[in-house]
Amino acid sequence: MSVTDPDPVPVYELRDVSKTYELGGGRVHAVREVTATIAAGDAVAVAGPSGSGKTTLLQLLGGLDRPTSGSVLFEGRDMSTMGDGDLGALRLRTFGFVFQQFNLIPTLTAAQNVEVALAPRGGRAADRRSAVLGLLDSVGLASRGDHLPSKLSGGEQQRVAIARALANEPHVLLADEPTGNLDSETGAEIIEVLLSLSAEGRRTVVVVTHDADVAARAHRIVRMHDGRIVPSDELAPATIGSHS
Amino acid sequence: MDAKNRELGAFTPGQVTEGRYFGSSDAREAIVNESYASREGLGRGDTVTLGGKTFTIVGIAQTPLGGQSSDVYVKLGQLQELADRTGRVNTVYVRAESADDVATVAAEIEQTVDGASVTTAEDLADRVSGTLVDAKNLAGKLGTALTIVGLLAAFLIASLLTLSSVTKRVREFGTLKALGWSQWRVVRQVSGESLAQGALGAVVGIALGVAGAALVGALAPSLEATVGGAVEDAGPRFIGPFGQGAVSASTTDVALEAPVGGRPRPRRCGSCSPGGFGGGRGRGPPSGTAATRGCPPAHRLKRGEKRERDRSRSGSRL
Ligand SMILES: Nc1ncnc2c1ncn2[C@@H]1O[C@H](COP(=O)(O)OP(=O)(O)OP(=O)(O)O)[C@@H](O)[C@H]1O
Ligand SMILES: [Mg+2]
Repeated sequence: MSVTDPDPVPVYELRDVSKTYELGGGRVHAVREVTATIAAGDAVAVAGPSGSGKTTLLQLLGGLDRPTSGSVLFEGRDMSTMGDGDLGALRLRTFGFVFQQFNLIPTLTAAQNVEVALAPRGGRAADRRSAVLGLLDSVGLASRGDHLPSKLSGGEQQRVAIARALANEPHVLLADEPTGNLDSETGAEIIEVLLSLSAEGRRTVVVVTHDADVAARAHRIVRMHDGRIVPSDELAPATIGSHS
Repeated sequence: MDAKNRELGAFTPGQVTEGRYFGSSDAREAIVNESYASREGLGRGDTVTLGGKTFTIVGIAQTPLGGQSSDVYVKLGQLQELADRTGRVNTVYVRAESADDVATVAAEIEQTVDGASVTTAEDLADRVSGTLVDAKNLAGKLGTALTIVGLLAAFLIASLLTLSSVTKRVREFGTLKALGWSQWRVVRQVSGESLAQGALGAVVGIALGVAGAALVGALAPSLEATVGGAVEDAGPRFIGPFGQGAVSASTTDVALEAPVGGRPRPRRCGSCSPGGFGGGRGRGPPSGTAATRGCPPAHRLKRGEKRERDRSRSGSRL
């Protein structure tokens, strides 16, 4: 996908996507009739009050959940009709996830945590290990590979999580409040790492955030309210990447 | 006591801890039980009076257990005379040739001698602390039980660890799912870890069980079992409730207790053995004791005989 392409095929195309949860007789409309497109290489911030459906939307984009109605097309393929195996393969090779709680496996070292993302692909252990070292180096943690998550600061843990998310060179990076557990300075560093690495790999980034500073770094801010996207999409100043 | 038959009876010369065994003379001699002597402050050279006759204490003996111990022992003939029960005994000791024959001999005696109650050494052991055979079984069972408990504990711990790890790791599974791990891979990983954990638990459990069993074995002191002077190492050892006396489960001796006045007649090789006189508590009819020695297992006592026929052979004098 070329940046100069005047009408690029979107990475994501959402058509009337709704997600409802059945809860003890009642229904929760987490996402309501969302229609949107995300272009390749885009860096989108998703903002909105708590419970507005941001996480649910991200899970639909990442194939962790299927919409109740409507369809989510990823690179032209309808994810809502894909089987578990296909969705798993997409998650493994095409999507990278970063979480607010870092979600590192506490009993594994930083290097092993990164390797977990590579394990399903098989291959030689030595190759995996050198790949892991390169990834840790890219997030500035080359010397911390032997440390358990508990020995790392929050920012360092999130760097490990970013290295893990990028291990399979995904087309799409999906981050759910990646700075939510960090102080603002560390959060800014993390966003810097996340966006610059994504720009390098021409990745599409979707970041859920409450943080205005983080949102300001994205190309585009999508605001959600009560499960819907609030119309007035604003173009944020594009400070990262060449997309416009 | 039948002083002529020194090796079979309530005690043997070896059990005389102070002084000596009965002499061959007709002198009125008594040997007292150790605990009786210390209780009554008796020593060698002191006298005891039985039925108006004075007996000089010539020795102090360590007498065995099994309800067979008396306070004062005198020569059989003298006792029979004193009690006016000439020719009568209350206990006959029979020694089988082999431990295997004990049960047969006991059964035969019981059949042959009307009203006789036969107490084998094993029965005696029962009175002490259960037979050593049981002790051996107990030790074995304890070991098995410990092993089973260990295995169960290991299994339980492993299961609990697995369970708690599964519930604690829900988030982890979510992460793995997001990372593209297939359900199958996650299940394989978790069960692999659980198996490793279970194997480790089993190893630890078995080690603990074996160590526990060894500890029990090491802490349980030796019980040396003796009956009629025989001493045997009974293998697994347990503390008996009593200090000195102990009974061998594999002894070849059979003690025959007939009702008072019973007069079993050894057919081939009987002879009188030491008889007890219940000094402190022995208000019951005085008694003598006949014993057979070196009798073959098939040794029989004639049923219903009330009088000991071969008194001269017993050679016991009161
Ligand atoms: N698995 C679920 N089962 C039932 N209801 C759910 C589930 N997940 C989300 N919801 C509900 O859907 C709505 C949207 O939730 P979601 O987590 O997407 O909100 P959010 O915008 O991410 O909020 P926050 O900013 O607090 O993370 C909420 O009302 C929530 O309670
Ligand atoms: Mg959320």
